[in-house]
Amino acid sequence: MRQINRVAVLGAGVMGATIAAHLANAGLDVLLLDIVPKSLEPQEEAKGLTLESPVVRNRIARNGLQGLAKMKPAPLYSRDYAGLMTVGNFEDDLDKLNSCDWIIEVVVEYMPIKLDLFKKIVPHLAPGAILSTNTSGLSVNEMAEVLPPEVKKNFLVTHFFNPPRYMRLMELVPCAETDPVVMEMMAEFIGKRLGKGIVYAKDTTNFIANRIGVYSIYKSIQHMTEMGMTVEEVDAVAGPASGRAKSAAFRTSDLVGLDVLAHVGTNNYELVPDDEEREVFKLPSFIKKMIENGQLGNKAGQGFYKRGKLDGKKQIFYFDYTSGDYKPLEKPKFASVAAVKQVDDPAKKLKMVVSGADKGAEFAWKSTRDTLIYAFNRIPEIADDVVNVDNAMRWGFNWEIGPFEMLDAIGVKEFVGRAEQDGVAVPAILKEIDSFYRYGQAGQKEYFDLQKKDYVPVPVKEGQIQLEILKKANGVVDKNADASVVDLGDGVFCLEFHSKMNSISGGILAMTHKAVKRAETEGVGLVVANQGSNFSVGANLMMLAVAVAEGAWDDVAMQIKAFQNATMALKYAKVPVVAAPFGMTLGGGAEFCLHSDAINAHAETYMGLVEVGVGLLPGGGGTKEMSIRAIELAAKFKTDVQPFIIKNFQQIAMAKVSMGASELYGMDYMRHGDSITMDIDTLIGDAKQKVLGLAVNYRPKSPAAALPAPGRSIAGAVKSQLWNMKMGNFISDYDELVAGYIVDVMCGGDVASGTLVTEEYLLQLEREYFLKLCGNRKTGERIQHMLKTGKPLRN
Amino acid sequence: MKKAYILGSYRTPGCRANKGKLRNIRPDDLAAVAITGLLERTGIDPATINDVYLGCSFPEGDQGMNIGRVAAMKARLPDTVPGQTVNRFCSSGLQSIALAAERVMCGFADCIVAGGVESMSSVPMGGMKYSANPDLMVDWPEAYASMGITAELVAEKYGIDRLAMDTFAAASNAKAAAAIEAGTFGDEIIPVEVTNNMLVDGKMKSIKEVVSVDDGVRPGTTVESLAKLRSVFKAGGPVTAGNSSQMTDGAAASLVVSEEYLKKISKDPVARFLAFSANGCPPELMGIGPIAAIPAALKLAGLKQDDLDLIELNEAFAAQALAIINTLGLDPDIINVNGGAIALGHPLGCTGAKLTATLLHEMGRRNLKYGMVSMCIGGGMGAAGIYEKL
Repeated sequence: MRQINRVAVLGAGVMGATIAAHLANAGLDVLLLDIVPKSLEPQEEAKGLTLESPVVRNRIARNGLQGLAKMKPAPLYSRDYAGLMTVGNFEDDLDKLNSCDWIIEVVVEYMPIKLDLFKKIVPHLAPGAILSTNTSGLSVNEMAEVLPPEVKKNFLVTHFFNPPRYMRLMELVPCAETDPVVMEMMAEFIGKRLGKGIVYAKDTTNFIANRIGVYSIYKSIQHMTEMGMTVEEVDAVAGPASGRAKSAAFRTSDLVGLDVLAHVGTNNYELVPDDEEREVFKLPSFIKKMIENGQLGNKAGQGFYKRGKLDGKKQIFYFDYTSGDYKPLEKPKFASVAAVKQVDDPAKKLKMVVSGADKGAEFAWKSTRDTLIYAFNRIPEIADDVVNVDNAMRWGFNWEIGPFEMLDAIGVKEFVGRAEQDGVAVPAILKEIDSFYRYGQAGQKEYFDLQKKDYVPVPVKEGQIQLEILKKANGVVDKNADASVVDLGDGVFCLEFHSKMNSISGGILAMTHKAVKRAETEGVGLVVANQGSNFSVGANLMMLAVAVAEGAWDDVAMQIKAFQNATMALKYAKVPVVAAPFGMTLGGGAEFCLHSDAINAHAETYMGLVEVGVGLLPGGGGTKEMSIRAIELAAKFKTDVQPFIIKNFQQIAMAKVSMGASELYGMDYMRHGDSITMDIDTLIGDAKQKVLGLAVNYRPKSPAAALPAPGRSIAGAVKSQLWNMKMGNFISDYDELVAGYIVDVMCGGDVASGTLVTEEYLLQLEREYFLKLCGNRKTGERIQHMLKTGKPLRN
Repeated sequence: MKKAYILGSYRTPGCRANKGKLRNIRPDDLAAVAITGLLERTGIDPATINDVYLGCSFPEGDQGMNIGRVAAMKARLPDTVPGQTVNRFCSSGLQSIALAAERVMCGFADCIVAGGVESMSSVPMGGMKYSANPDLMVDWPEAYASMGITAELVAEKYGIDRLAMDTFAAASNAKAAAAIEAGTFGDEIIPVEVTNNMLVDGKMKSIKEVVSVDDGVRPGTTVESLAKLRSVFKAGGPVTAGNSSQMTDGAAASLVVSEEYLKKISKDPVARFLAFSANGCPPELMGIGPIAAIPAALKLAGLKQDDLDLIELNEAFAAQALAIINTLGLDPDIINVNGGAIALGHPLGCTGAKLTATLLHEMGRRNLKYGMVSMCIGGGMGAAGIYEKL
């Protein structure tokens, strides 16, 4: 099988450049090519350059590459990775294609141009090289016609979603001649190395996600106008309240661009004449007008929404399609939507919302009803099964659950009954189905195959561990409301958080000790992992807030001691512990990771010790741990500890959060021997493998007994900088105090540098200063503010 | 008391720290170039030198190991010539000259090389390991007020606004640019040969270059262009990078001699050293230090402020320079006539020696009688030194 090391990206527009960036994220060598400019820029002319100068000829590709640095969110894990990309052009650099293992075409969506490019590059392809197109809607078979048979075998659609780093969906579409082995290889490669979620689509217009997603938006617009609702009212319902993306219908449209939305819709209208809902794809006249007016969405600064000012204050406005004016947001209040705010499970939320009695609920029902029937009717036209459709919508449109999961959530029978009552045509086969998913005897997840008319297992890839399935298959060995210990097999246990937002509660702390004990007595090691939406948002503030509000200091002291005991139990377990963070891994969540033997992080891990935001210091051993890391680094090189302490201190004092796992190495939160997994599906499996690797020759650690304290002079230096920042109004008096406490703990207190201290002593200091902060009114205010608004208070 | 004379006073170019043309030369090498250049231009016998005093604000790292002695050896002075490092932060260069002059005035020495050096590319402000006394931080945190904060506080207390500062800064750049254009600094500058290495296609290339021009000046700086810069030291404050001095690499050296020495070698001095004073002030208002030091030095010299014909007043910040000018009522027309540190840079421990070279050369061109070098000093001090052109 061909090894893919070097990839060419043809086309350096936003999509091409950001795909190239993500390939560099995966450590691949990337060649980014685009056309030779047809004319000189004035500044090129001024420099005496001509159309023959290499700098001019590579300008378009180079601009694409350089544009990456300014994009938000960042397409690259690290700016350094840009060094893996080289640029060139379609005239001078085609011979370089023969060194590429994979060539991705990302030029303009216009068939003649694509065909011309294919003809031009074919002679330069290495035998067996993969050729793919990133088209979002053009026919792959039509493209294949210009390719020789040996290239057709290796030709397919690899459709990335924008932005490629962050959107998980990858639609793969073969042409008639694509070798199934090639499809399989690319699916594995793109899954494992690029971390994308593979969906198999067919050679149909707009493939899966855009076909259904855009239908859903168009249909919402139709319901909106019929029901006389506003854009804002629709978004209140069409987002997470009904299992959809946070950006709901119209913020998604603004994000994508109204012109793009219109293009996809029109494509569908023109190219799929026998679509039973064809008329829905007709562009509503008010949107046509918006496009003509340049109200294209975020890129134009105005679309369905617009930022502006009202009475001197920042204000967001929505587009009122009846008058053509922008109006200030009115924050519509639907009882049906308010009722599901506290519900986590998207399936439950959807069921509750569509069962509500107000206008919002009516809209939710109608739009969901029509979208689900439309999706159902697309099988087997656009996909072979429901799993591919559900995945496409979750990964490509950020729906919280896919259409068939929605049908299960509402209840298929109930859905059919209600839709028929509405007088809507319900497909006959749908009436015969009980549910689209179920769990089999051994706990395996199965889906209803509409073609086989029977349940078949949902495919599981090698190395993939699904806690949900293990738990259904009697894998739970211990459990409370917030955490479980799950047997991952081979002697490896998993400490799984499942509290609200995975905040670290007393239940999790208690279960940590049980998990360690279990792994020590019955196994070889422990994984700390979960499959929620984030690894952990931090310690449970509510618990602390109550104790602080009541002035129950003994209680606060006990809570913080319990936290430290749990993280220390991980650090000094007799078996290896590997943490598998992903997404938000904040505060206490980060402290759990820092006390593990190793970290196996998902590439998109946003980790940081952010306690200062609530007027606290990391009190679960985090402050102590980052002090010890600095001390150990300095000792290793027999050098001054000050720069290490200052760097680690700054990260805590500024609540720095990594913008991806790669950054964690630079922060010393991850270290040599830790690793990064691109494919979230194999994250726990990879962590398990790491445990097994470490278990072979594991030597348990013992607490540090003679650490040279960094000492009071370093604290003095830091405090003088804090004083200056305060004088410059960059930090508040209280920020200065909190940060001063942090550096006091990290320096080992008011002692001379080199004074020998123990890890236990540092923990004791950490607790002491944590308690001092808890006793301060301003910390209380910060905690209350965070609980109320979810945002830090600067007081 | 005997009289002390300056036989010659020269400086290297001042170049931007980390980005400028002297970034790759060691400070001891740079100081040696200044010493060698001084000896060549004055033509004296190195064996007759009694001592070498070198001012340096952060004498550690590449500037450590007593750079006064190291630079003397690097300049190949005989091993019988001793050397010392002098530190009073930004006045170190002037302090060296004053110490040398005072020793000559006491009759304890006849010929001393006195100057200063600072490579801010090599050792940053604050040094290799910034430290602050933890006890002082509790009861007197102002002791470690950052320079930028002191400028903000001075601006606030003395009512210096952003427009006044930016106007002052634009003028500094314009004067410096005109002086460079006219070749005014040609006589006082000792060119420095630097070697830069670069890996080209796997081979290490050596590129030699002779640096003879100050490289921090920004010609074409206007009040409007400065107005666009952001506050750096205080949120929303008026002090910006554009109206503050630049971080700079440079070295300078003067030869301080006695009357007997001049007779022995039959040469005429360029000036006589009259007086020096250093005075303290609140550390958080360090920029106003010269307000006390200037009258004190004038008193020691037996002069009145009006007697001064030319002044080099170090522009640490436009804020403090203007506060001093306004408070003392100094004549702006005789201050920094060829631009100041905002344009030409402020190599900390070198500055006093550098400004002495610039002052004496300009006094020579204009044939003026009394001149002064003055500066504020971190930690809350000011210094002034007065020269009489002969």
